[in-house]
Amino acid sequence: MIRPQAHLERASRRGFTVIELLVSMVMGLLVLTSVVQMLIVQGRSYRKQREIVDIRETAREASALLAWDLRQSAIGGSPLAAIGANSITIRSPRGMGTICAKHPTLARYGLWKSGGNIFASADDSALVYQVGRDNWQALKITAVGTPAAMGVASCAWPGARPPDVVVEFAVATKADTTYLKVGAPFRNFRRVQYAEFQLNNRWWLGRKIGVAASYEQLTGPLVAPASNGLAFAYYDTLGAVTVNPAAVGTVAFTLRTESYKSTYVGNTFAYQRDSLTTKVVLRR
Amino acid sequence: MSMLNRKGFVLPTVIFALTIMSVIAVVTLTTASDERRTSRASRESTLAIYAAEAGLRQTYGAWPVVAASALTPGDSLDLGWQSLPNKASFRVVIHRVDGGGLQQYAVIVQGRRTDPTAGIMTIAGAVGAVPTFRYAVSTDSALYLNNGGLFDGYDSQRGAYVAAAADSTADLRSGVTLYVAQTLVKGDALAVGALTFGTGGVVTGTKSSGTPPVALRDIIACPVGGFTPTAKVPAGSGITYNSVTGVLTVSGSGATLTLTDTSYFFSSIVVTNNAKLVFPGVPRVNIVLRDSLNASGGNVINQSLSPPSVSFSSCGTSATPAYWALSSGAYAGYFSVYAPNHVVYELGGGDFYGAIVAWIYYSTGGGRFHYDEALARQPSNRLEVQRGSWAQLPGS
Repeated sequence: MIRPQAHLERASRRGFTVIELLVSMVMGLLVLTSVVQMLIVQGRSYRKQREIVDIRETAREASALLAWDLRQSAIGGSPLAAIGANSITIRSPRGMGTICAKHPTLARYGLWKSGGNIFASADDSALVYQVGRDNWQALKITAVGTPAAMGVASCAWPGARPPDVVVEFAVATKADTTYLKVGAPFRNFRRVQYAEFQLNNRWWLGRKIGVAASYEQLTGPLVAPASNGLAFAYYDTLGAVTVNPAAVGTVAFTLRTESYKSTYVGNTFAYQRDSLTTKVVLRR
Repeated sequence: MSMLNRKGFVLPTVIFALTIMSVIAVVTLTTASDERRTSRASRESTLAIYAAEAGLRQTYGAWPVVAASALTPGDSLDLGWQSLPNKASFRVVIHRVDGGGLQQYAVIVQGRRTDPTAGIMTIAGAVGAVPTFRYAVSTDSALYLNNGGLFDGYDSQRGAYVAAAADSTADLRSGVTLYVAQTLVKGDALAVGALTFGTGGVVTGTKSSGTPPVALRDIIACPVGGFTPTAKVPAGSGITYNSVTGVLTVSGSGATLTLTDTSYFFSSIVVTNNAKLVFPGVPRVNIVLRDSLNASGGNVINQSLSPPSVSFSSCGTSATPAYWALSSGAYAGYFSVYAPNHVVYELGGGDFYGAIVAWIYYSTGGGRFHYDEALARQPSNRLEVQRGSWAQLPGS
């Protein structure tokens, strides 16, 4: 005979019924499926957001870089070197300063440098303001050196501080340096081309210095040139489209960026894309 | 184990799901925050440039004339941080960068926003003085050269004039028409109106007509306190001076007046009958004239042979705007003339070293005019923003 107490204890120890198990398993499966589905959706969404952030940042960085370079590329009335629908060649600002001393006999000038770096490569040139004549003189830099090495020990100002750097210009005629005075603003430029180039089957914004064979990778990826990953439009100072580099007053460029990794766009696994158009008025 | 303990199958699942969702939510929020911060930094940086730009424009528009003119070469003037209504601020530092003489200023402006992500953006510009004697001869109206003259250039601070090594810097500018006949001009010729050549007229440099007009020259205000007192004008044979009328006359071949002070103010000067008006040139002297200068029959002698040392300037709006007549004959003239409201004649056939600013200029004596480039480096009161000097500092 089973005692009532023992009966109760056995009842409390009994396992789940099949129905309970089935119900709980179905419920658990449903919950887990929902969670997994949610994880997948959230994961995709996160990856998508990350790629969107990335392509927008790419576009912003590229836009800021190009705008900065373009804005100062026509200083002194110098024309853009070459203009194309998907590339542009400009004189990119490298360094700036002020002439603070002159060599007594040679075409060497001490500079108080305010920013950047000044070079004397084959692709470098300089513009120096002709004080009193409202004109910029284009000159070729043949050498850059220290004040001691170049024989320009001190600036002409009281206190005789040494120049930050000394440059030497190629001079063809006396008039080349007649109006280069102490106090003249100095700008150093390097000829660069901006265009798309291909690397590892993707397209990138690149910069080619002078006649260099290869591009320096700046940012990207961009969509292919055939789809205008980098597209330029040129306008004169009145806003009319122009193909004359000397007449360009405004440059508009569009960057079509592409994500580094593919993500779902709807039901398709593809690259995320975005675009940014910037208009830059050239300073003259 | 009770029945209650066996009911909690769903709870851990829900907690697990909530944990996962929380992680995802945090990551999503972080991503969104990154995106927001990135775009904000980009916007703030742009606004920082705008703040710097505003500072540069404001400095150009409200140039600190007194403070800037007190700077010596190599000095700097820090105008401090100034706030804009949009929570941006800028700081302007003006550096005087010329070597002495014609003023040249570098203007460096930093702009920033209150947001720390913006950083500081720096731009630069340049302001320079416009040379009073940028050209050998400059007029606001007609410029007329005839009768066998020569115009060339040299730099008195580099050495004395040597004809064989003369520069082709004797540029001419006319505010209306420019006529050149029987004259060799080694330099450029620019005219707002027509540029006309007569027989024998040659310009070796650029010849431009229809050039853009420029603002008329400033007419200097006359000094206060009346004309130069009599005590500053030595008496002598052939010398008459009235400090009330301001008329100074030096007449007669034996008459020589030497003026040794640094500044004089007369209504007019007449040097005639081969008389001599002499300036040692050291120290530099400036003679201000309200009405006229007539030296056609005499000699103005600068003993220093340095044109920047002696200058004649007109002042005020003369009630009797008489012409100014120069004559370089037996003695060469070494001086500059600034008479933007007078007609100036060069009547002599000798040498003149210097530069001239006039309302109208006639050269009919067939003289030799040697433009002194050192005069273009003299300080000037007129400043201008230098074209193309705007720059954003690399790396800022």
